[in-house]
Amino acid sequence: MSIAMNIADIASGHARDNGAARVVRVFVDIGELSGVEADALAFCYPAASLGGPAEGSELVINRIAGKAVCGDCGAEFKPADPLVVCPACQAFGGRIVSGDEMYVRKMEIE
Amino acid sequence: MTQKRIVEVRQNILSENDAIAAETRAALEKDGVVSINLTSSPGSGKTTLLVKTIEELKGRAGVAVIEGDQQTDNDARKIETTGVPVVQVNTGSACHLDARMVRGGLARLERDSARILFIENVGNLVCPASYDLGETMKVVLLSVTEGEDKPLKYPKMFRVSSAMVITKTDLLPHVDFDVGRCVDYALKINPQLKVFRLSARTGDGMDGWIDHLISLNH
Repeated sequence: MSIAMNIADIASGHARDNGAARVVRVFVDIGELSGVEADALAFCYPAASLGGPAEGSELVINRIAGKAVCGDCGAEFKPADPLVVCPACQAFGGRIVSGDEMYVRKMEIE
Repeated sequence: MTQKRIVEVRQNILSENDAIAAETRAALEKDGVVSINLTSSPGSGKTTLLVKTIEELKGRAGVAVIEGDQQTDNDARKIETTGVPVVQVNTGSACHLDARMVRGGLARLERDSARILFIENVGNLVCPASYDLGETMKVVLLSVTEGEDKPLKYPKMFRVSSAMVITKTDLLPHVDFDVGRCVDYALKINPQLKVFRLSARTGDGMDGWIDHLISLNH
């Protein structure tokens, strides 16, 4: 819920900065490994955005695939959450290079 | 007629939280304070461990505490009995502390002689993993009355923590918890994780934990 409220706050702030009356759509990037569930976020957003310029706006969620780099052999691979196991050398704990992000990318205003 | 247009934002959803956390971290580091964000499921024994830890640190390192709970100041009152400075932060509907709440708590906390600040988070293994409070490190607790596979079920919390404390080990004879398997799961999620096993009730295993806390301060 607080992630949804943060998104609504960011969207409302940018709407005001741009002199917009309302927010139409908000495009967010949410990594698969971020711990944020897209369904839960979509459910919370309408309530989180009530009472500001973002009220009634559509939240468009783009899931970013997880990517990790093995610390031992340097192979790049898609980690199967929860275990980050290198498929090339079976080492654990590769460094996650994408899939952990939570960004408001852009928005449509009017 | 109003025109629809696209504006680029490219803003981290937690950027405001993270900026406040960075200020808190800098302020605490300047004062030589090590801060520990304690997380776990509800009922894993965070407050009990904290009370015991404070007792054992007496005369060795000054301690202060920020207690986070959705409601009540019950935990702060338990900490108060130890005589160290404590403030309660109630998160209301939120299931976790955030950097703004901790900054507000710090402003009320008399932490002059404190060298170790404990921030007891709301019992929850999900959202607290995403929120930087400005702490030096996160420490996750897991009690032996829970499932040993919690590191696999809540991987992010174990990935972002520096240490895991397995609590209530005095109950091991009465439960099916497999400590070895739990540690194995946790280290597969985070090979750098430091692991402690202890019982705050009997004091067994407390020494290693206390020594670790002291070493962080040097």
